[in-house]
Amino acid sequence: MSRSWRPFLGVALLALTIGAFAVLTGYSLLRIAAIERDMRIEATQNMLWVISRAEVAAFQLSAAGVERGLGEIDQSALEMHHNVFLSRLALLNDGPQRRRMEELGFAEALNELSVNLPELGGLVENFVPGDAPRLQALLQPYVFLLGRAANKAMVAEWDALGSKLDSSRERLWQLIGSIAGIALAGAALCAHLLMATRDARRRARLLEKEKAFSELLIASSGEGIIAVDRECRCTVWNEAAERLFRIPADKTIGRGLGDASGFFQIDRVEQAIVTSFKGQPAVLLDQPFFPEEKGDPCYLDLRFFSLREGEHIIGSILLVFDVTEQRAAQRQIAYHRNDLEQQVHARTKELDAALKRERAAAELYRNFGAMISHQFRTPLAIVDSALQRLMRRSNHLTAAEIMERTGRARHAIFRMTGLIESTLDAARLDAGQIEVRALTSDFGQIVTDVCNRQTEQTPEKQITVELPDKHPILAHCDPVHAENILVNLLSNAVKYSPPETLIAVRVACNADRVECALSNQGSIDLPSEREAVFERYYRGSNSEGRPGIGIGLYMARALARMQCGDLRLEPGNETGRITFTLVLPQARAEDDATVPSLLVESV
Amino acid sequence: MRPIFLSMLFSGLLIVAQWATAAVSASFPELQGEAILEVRGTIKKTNKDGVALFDMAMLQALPIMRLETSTAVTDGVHLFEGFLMRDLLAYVGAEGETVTATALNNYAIDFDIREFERFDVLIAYRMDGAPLLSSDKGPLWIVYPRDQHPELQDIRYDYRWVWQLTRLDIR
Repeated sequence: MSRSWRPFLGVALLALTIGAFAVLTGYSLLRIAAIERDMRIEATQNMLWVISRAEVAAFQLSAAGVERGLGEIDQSALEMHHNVFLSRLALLNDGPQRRRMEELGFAEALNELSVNLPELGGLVENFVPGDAPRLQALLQPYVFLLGRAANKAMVAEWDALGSKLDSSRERLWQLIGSIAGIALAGAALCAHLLMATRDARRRARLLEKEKAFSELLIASSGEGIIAVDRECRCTVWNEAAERLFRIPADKTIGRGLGDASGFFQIDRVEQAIVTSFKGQPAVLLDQPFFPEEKGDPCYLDLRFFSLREGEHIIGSILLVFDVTEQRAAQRQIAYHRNDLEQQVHARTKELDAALKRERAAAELYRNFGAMISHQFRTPLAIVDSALQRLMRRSNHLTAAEIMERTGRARHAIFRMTGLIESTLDAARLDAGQIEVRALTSDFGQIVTDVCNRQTEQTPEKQITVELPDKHPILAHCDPVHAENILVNLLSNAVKYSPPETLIAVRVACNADRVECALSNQGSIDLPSEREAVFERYYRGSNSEGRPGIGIGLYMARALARMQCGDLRLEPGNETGRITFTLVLPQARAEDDATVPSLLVESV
Repeated sequence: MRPIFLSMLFSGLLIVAQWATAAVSASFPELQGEAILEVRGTIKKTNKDGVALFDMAMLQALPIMRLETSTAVTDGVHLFEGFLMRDLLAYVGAEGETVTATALNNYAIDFDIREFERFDVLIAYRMDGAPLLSSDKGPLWIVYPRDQHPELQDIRYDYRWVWQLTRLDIR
């Protein structure tokens, strides 16, 4: 409550003081004007002199009459004195003087005396020496009357002067009081003015400080700060802007922004400034700026705000941020991220491969374990039972029986040795210790020899060999390894085909390849088995009860591939036959018989 | 053609002016009637014993000026006719600083001669169409343009209105 009327009271007091000042000043001026008016001395206030001069003129005329009577002066001198006397009377009877005489109370008496003037005039005009006493007698009442009038005029004038001085003094005192009041009011106003000035100065200082601070802020800001007026003339261009655009402030301040740099003539930028003139902020991100001198572009973020003064928009402020480094950093980060992703991807692949390998290895060892436990137990059991029989019946056995039993045990040991040899072969293959010496070999001959040997070992199995007409069939291969592969394939065919069935071997030459297909009756029912047959220690579902360690096909394919050939299982389950095809590179007859040996890499 | 004509006209005027001055100078007349004003002191032209004496006819021959003004000793505004003080002083070739005016009753007032340049001070011989009388303020009355110049409405100027003027002394 009290706060709301306090400023009002201040204003009212100030208005009251100013009012008092004005009233007192007006009053003083009126008083001074009155005093000035009173100070004017009118000629009529000089009545003492006027009356005295008339009295003197009357005396002089009277004296002139006497002198004229004595003949001391001439007629014209007498007339002159008469004229002077008349002139003084005329003056007394004229306007202001007449009224003054009325106030003094002598007008009537003067009028009464004037009836004598024609007689006086006649006396002067026709003066004879004896007229002097009569002249004197006529003038005597004038002298008396004028003397009294002068007396009274003097008193009246002095009284008037005294009262005038009194009134002047009174007015002067009033004036002094009034002026004192004016001085007080003036002092109050001065004090107010001084306080207001001090306040204003303090505010101005504060404003200056704030302005200086703002300027400091603008100057030291790391961001470019640019201000333009409505005509797009630059009014602020701070140090950061100088650095960003490489243009000193003295080349931009007061000039058009577009003239400072072509960057500001770009449509987007101009549009953003126009938007800010309409009172809406605008943002332009990641704008490329190409400096005048050759160099990489920098990238700028620009924010536009309208600059207001009260209601009006008087210009625009641009905040410019250099985001070149940020951008580069972001690009770097993105690059690193991509790189990392690739690395992770590669690593994942490697890990996947390692995992596969690991799983394969685990599978391998499981297969190896299963194979060993099964394949080694049977010969060991045979050896064991043979030895037990020898021990139990050693005294009753004939030499032939002993030979037969030890021969069986030896056969079992021989099989076991063969198994161990195969396992070691696989290990040697893995360690890269198997050498391939590829030569131009007569592949037809090799096939024929292997088939013949197999027929000798297992005459119950019929093997048909089909060779092309062309002889010899030259392949570029290691004949030993090629023979091993064929032996393996053929023994498998014998082992897994039903008795009394035909095993067909067919050799063909196509283009630069020599192909040897071995087929026997049978089938592989599970699709997963078709590829698994080439895995180490894998034994098919039909291998139950048949010796073997699951190395053969693995070794055969590895050796074929080492000779730049291949071994594949042909599709063709529907024919009821299993067909393996060995593929080897064909050799020309003129080819060099020997080629450098190849060291096999581990699989 | 024209400049020659103008210069001829100008020379003609000059000659007329010179003739007029010479005529006035030559015709500074002897006193004919009753002398009503005498001018003494440092003057160039005199007509009797180093004194310039004027009768009414001679004064009325000076350029006539009219002035309407109120006075300090009468009511209302009056029309005065007469001549300028400075015309008279020029007429007698007065050279000095002070002019002392003396009235019939020996009332004497000193004037600064420059005052007559500042103001059109009149020596009047006629008021409201009637000649000023010797028995009143005549025959000559020094009149200031009181209504035209407020600063003249002052007692220090009021005492300069010498009436029944008879003599001027120039120093």
